[in-house]
Amino acid sequence: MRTLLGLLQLFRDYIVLTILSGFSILLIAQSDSAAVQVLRSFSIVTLASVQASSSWAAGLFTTAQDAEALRDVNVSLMEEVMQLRRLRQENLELRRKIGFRERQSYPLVPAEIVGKNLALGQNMITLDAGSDDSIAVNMPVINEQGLVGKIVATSPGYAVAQLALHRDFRATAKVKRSRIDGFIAWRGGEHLMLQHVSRTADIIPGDTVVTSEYSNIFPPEVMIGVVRSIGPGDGGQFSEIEVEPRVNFAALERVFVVRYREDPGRMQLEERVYPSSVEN
Amino acid sequence: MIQLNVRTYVLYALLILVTVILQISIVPLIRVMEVAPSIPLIGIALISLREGPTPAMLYGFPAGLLIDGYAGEVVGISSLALTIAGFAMSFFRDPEKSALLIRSGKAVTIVLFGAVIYSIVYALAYFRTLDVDIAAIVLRHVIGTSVYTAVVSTIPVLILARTGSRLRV
Repeated sequence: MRTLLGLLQLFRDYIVLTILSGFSILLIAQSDSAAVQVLRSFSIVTLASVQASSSWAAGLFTTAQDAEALRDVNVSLMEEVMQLRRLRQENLELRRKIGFRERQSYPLVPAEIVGKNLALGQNMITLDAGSDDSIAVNMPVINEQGLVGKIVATSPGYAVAQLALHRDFRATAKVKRSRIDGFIAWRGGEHLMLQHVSRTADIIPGDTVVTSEYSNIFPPEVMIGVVRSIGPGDGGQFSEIEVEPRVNFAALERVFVVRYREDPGRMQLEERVYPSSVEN
Repeated sequence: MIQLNVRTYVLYALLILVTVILQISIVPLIRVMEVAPSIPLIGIALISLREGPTPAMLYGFPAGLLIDGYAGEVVGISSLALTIAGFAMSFFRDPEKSALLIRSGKAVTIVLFGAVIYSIVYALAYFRTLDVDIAAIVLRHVIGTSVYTAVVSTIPVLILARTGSRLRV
């Protein structure tokens, strides 16, 4: 017994290293488990309030410039809104004539970004609105430029969103002009990739990419970005399409969470018919 | 046994908590080309050089969990990186001269070494599935983060050097 204790004492540092490293690796492997979500919520509740109180300091230097920029954006948006209202009316009329179901609009929850993790590929943001504001996991996050990301964790007062520039981010997307479908994903760098698009598909640089109506998470027609280049891919049947995101992720300050939830009837039917389908 | 009294435990815990708060509140404002220093690593280096590997790892692990949990990232990556870095930095520990060591330029070099270990472990764990250029990761994230962390660590080292034995840490 004494020998065993002596050995434990002798190799204590290595034993602690092994246990803690093993536990870390276990956590990495169980990243989506309920226990890890509880840990996330605890961290958010503990640290987000601290960060929110310190973010005002950064805001002191940017408020005046922001107001100026927002006024400019406001003017151009008002013009756009007027034009869109007219088009919407036309669209509604046409849809009614054809007999299409009316499209829903979704309530937006405005939120300020109180924390950003853009270093080392940690492309996440913390918002000052949470489950108390009816925000839930998987709700889309947008701003006036387009798709920002989706909510991955919430606490009563805060939420953490995964940006589109994140390795785990996926969204079904389509090219607005030719209606070609694909998946948006990020593989590092400043651009997104439009994947699973045939090499013969009708796509040209400059095409606009938006979210597709096939998504279970994102509402359709949300701006994602513009096709920058089209490569031959890895020799297979798919092209390598680089998409420049419309959102300036480095300058994000305010966003909107879309209270968009997939129609449960559609989800149930899809799960029954093709249970292994992609959920993005 | 680990020869730490309750007061020292609490002080180290407070130190690490402060470094974590600085990491999430101040570091995003001082990023340069997406490269950010790791402030908790500097606190872990201090504990590692003064108390040895076990206390450094025991403080580094929860600090990493807090950071990962808050960032919404894969929980366990920072705790793994801080645990291993805390262990590695203790190789330079000299129990007889630890008070002098943490006030000298050697401490900055040790932080640089620890930051390289931290960044490599982090990069290996985080970027394992990303199709990105290895050279870019090494240049920007490993070297960048390490040098930046070492540069920031000169501030506490200089403060400790100037206050000398008046400040007990």
